[in-house]
Amino acid sequence: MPTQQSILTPPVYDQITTGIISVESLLRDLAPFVTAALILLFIISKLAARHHVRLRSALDLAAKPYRYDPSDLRRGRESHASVIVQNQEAMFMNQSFVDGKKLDWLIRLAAKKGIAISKFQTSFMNLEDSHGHDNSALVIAVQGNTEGAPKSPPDCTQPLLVTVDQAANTATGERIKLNGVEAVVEAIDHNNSSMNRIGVLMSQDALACITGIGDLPPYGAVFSPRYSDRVRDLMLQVDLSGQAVIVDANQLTQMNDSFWAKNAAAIFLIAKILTALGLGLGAIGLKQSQLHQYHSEISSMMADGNNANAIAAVESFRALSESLRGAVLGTVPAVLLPVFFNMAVIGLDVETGLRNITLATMFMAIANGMAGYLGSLKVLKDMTPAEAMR
Amino acid sequence: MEHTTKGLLASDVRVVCSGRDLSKSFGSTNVLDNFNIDIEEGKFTLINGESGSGKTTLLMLLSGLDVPTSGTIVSAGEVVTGMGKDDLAIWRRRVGFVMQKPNLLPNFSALENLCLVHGLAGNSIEVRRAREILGSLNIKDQSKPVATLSGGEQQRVAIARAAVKNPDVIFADEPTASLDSATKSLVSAALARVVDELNISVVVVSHDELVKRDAHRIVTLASGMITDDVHKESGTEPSGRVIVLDEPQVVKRLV
Repeated sequence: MPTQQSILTPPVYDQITTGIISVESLLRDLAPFVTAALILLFIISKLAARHHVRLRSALDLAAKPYRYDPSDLRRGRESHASVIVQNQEAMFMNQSFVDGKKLDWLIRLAAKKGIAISKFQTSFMNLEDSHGHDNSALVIAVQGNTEGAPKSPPDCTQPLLVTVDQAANTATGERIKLNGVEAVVEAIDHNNSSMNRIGVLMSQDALACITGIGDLPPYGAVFSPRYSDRVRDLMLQVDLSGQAVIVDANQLTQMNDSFWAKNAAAIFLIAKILTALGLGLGAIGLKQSQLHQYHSEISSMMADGNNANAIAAVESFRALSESLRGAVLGTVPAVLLPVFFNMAVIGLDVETGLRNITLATMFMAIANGMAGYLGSLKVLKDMTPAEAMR
Repeated sequence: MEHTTKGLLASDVRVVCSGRDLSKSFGSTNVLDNFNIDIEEGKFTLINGESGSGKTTLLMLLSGLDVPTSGTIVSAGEVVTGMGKDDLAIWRRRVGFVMQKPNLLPNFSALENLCLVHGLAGNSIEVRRAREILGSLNIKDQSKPVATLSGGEQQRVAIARAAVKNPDVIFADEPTASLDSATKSLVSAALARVVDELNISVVVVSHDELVKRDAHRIVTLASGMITDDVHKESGTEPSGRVIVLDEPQVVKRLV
């Protein structure tokens, strides 16, 4: 018999564990991808920040016009107005619960004391530009008549003058249609579109010409902030203080933002749960189908004398490694998709963020790892090592 | 040294694996009937024969992957027949397997394929030893995912995986079946090298003529019976009869 001499005599000095070499090798493999993804992420975040459009409500516009004056609007966002809006957390773009009669009473009382208050209304409309392209619009109409007194019917024979947000890509002087009624773009404003609705400013007379309704319910009112205390007293007199509040432009924006945040939170939560369920179930389903493909590999490990726990640990490790590799590849679309989404939805600012990517990666890795572990145990129950030979 | 019956070895020969009075039936079909065989320690034994001759069934019985209908198997120093599932799993750690397909973990490197599974099973494999075995079987890209290696390289990694735990015997089922001629030759030589350099016994089931070149002994089966049992002398071709060797010859092969 040959002696037990081998050129491959096991060395005594090498005590590096296989675990260390596996992790080291995995990290080494992943390092270029992770670095590339992080660099890409950095560049994209910088670009996104540069082109960032703050999510703001079209209602914010209401804070601008103390009196409807397109020349003022052209100068940019004003912050000199105080706004009376409903004292509710739930604010809708085109609906208000402020009592119109009480508001008229307030306006009349204020006028007697030399304080000008302008009502404004909001309305959703269809905007058709001169090229025939349709857009949804949020029209904000500010009353020219500050006294709130009955006025004569509007002259609808003259061209209706409107200020349109730049998101509509219209030009000054362009003829557009609002709900089919022709209007002329008198000025272009900026950053006044929200939730894919183009902000359009006009007079109440113009609004009446389009809707055919002379006196739409008011959404709120604006006045000079130097009269805030006096108007607050007047609101008490007309019994408006319970249902309406005085806010400045920033507060109005915050109220509107918090409304969307609160209302969207439930939607986003449901979306996150559904996404998590979808991803989790998808991971498990995918893993199950992979495990069927891995039958021969698993049976080979069985044939090698590995017990179920060791094989499950291998499958779990393999799933974890696949998840990490997948996460690196998935990072690019995960970052890019919201950017495209933001470009498509005017006024929306959604970003994936490193935190979300990390959470998603961890979730997928855990779901996949568990699916690998539990799934392989299930597969092993019905398997014999002899299957490796087949 | 003397031979009594085809398949059996003389009493002074060290045996790594034996089957006595083995029978295996699948339904009403008897694949093996009162079959006897000894596998010599430290040798490359080839079991060949036509399809349906019972060679794979014999390999599965000897390797403990299947249970005989009757008879006894003593392999790697233990009576395999009658072992429970858990005992069999522990016993299998003393034997290695090479299948027709390499069945490696494709996204892991050759080195990880050798170390990871055993490591997670609690049987730490020395990385240096794994590297040396892979090196001796000419696997140069030990850190690349095995999916990127050629078919022949993958099969040699599978041989290394079986050998790294230093088993008493490696069982290989048609390890060259899905390879081209040049690669078959390399894989067969790799198995021979495991025998020569690691002193691990190898039992291969194959119809491949190239494997015959490297085998020390060729057992031919037909209809569940041994029709030929040839022990090769160094440099000689099988003669079709039993050759009794007084001294075992080690045939050096180059990969």
